[in-house]
Amino acid sequence: MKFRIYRALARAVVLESIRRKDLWVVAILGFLILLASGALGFFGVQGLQLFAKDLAASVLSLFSAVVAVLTSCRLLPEEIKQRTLYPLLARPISRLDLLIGKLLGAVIVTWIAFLMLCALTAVALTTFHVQFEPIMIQYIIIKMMGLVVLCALSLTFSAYMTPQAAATMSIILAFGSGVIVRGLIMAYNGVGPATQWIYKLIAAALPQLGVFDLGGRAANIGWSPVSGAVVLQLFLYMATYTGAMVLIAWAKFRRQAV
Amino acid sequence: MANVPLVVGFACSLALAAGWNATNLRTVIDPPHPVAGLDVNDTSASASLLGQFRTNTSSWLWLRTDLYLHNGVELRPLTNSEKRAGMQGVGTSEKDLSKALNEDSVVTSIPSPHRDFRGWFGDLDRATAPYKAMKNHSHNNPEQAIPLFRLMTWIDPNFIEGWTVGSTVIARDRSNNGTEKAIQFLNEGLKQNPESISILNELAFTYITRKKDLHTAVQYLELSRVSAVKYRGTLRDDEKEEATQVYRWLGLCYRDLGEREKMIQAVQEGRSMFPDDAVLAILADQPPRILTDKGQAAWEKLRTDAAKGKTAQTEADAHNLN
Repeated sequence: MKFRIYRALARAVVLESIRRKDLWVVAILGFLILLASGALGFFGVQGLQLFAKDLAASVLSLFSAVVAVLTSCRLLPEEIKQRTLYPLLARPISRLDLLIGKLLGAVIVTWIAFLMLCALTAVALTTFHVQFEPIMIQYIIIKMMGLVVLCALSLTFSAYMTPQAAATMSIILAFGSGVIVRGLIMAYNGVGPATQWIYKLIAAALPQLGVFDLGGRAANIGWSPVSGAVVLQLFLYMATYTGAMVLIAWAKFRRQAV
Repeated sequence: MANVPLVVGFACSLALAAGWNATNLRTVIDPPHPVAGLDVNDTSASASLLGQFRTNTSSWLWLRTDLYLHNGVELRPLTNSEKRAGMQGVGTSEKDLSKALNEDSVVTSIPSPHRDFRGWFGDLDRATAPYKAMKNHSHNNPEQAIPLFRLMTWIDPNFIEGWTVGSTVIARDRSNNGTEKAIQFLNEGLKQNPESISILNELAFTYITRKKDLHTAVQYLELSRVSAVKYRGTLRDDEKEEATQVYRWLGLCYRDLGEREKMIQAVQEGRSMFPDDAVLAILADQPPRILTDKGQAAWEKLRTDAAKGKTAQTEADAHNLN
């Protein structure tokens, strides 16, 4: 029963995204990828395969994160602003169901966009005669798991702040959490034991989106795919963090006057 | 409406005039005395946009090159507090790149398990990122990075390290062909940065070590010396180190060429600029070539004993001071 609700809500998000021509943005981003690869070809393909793979992983990471954030951040505020939330809530669905359905929709839109970008990137890489390896499939799957976490994070921010602020915060965390954690690691031994627990707390609370990015392994030579146990741990982390984010969003949204 | 073609024509003429004179902007965008590498774009406010883009892109490519040499494993310099705590860098087993990349004071960005407080997250990070213990590591074939050096120096011709490290990488091919390519690459860099001490030094070093051509090396070192004297007041620490090298190599080259007067002149000038440099001090104390091998050995033993005694005294003084 719930599944049908979620499916209907997610479908509405996907249709809305198509109606708003969001995927055109993806097409433009994809065109940029092809254009960049063409510019790279200007310098001569010979010897730049490694760079092309690395650049492709970086660009995919950047563009998919942007799509995930922009798609997720506007879902709730738009429903409230356009008053389309009333008919939704008039149906026999809870606000938690609504959040989960919206999140599913955002995730599906993001995944579609990501896979489109992957396909365009694959075309660009083929022109460089880059060999495709099994780890690239694993890269895509694990990246899709990371995008779920990012969508949940953005949706949660949008429950507490304006879409613009939520998008800004999400982008900062998407690209900055790794940097912040590295900074914490470097500073950890320099602080007293009384302060060290704060570092641990911040590191644990920040979304560890970097662990979902196998781009470094996929781009460089000789790295094997990660083990099934690691993939399982990543899945558990994704499920736990996403669940926590949905609950935090629900804590605000369930009391919110619409 | 009749004026529209006129206005469009005027606008086109303006655009054409601007484009025609665009080359004059080069002196603004490319300041005329680029001594340093990445700092060059900060010397003119007008250069900011294009300069920042070029510098950022070349810096980014520089970092990527470092990543490729380490097969994706990210390294970072030790912090001052880590150095004070006695932490050691990972070091490399390849001495020729060790000089260029200075890897005795770097560690992996993702810490090893024993210095990572994150526990499970740290394990996940190490499992998913390109990570391995890098103690005395070797490098990927640097030839893979050569196109990147070409790319970064094309984007930012004032990126001195791109030229010098790029030439080191090219010169790893120890054949004559490799040496010629390295020299050609450095000469391209020299055209863009005619007063760069680092590029001139690298050229001289290549001529000395690979071609054993001291005469040509001295020509480059003399140019470098002129540059060092000209900018002596504004040299950064790394450039001062390069400038010290100039005088050391000049001293050695003139000594081996038998031009003692020039050697003394160069060494004295070097000592006036860098009075604390021990190598220049030793060079200033070199025995004249007229000594026999036995006499020279005796002289060197005498100087070595004196230097050891001085070092011991300095350490004792430092200890007492502490």
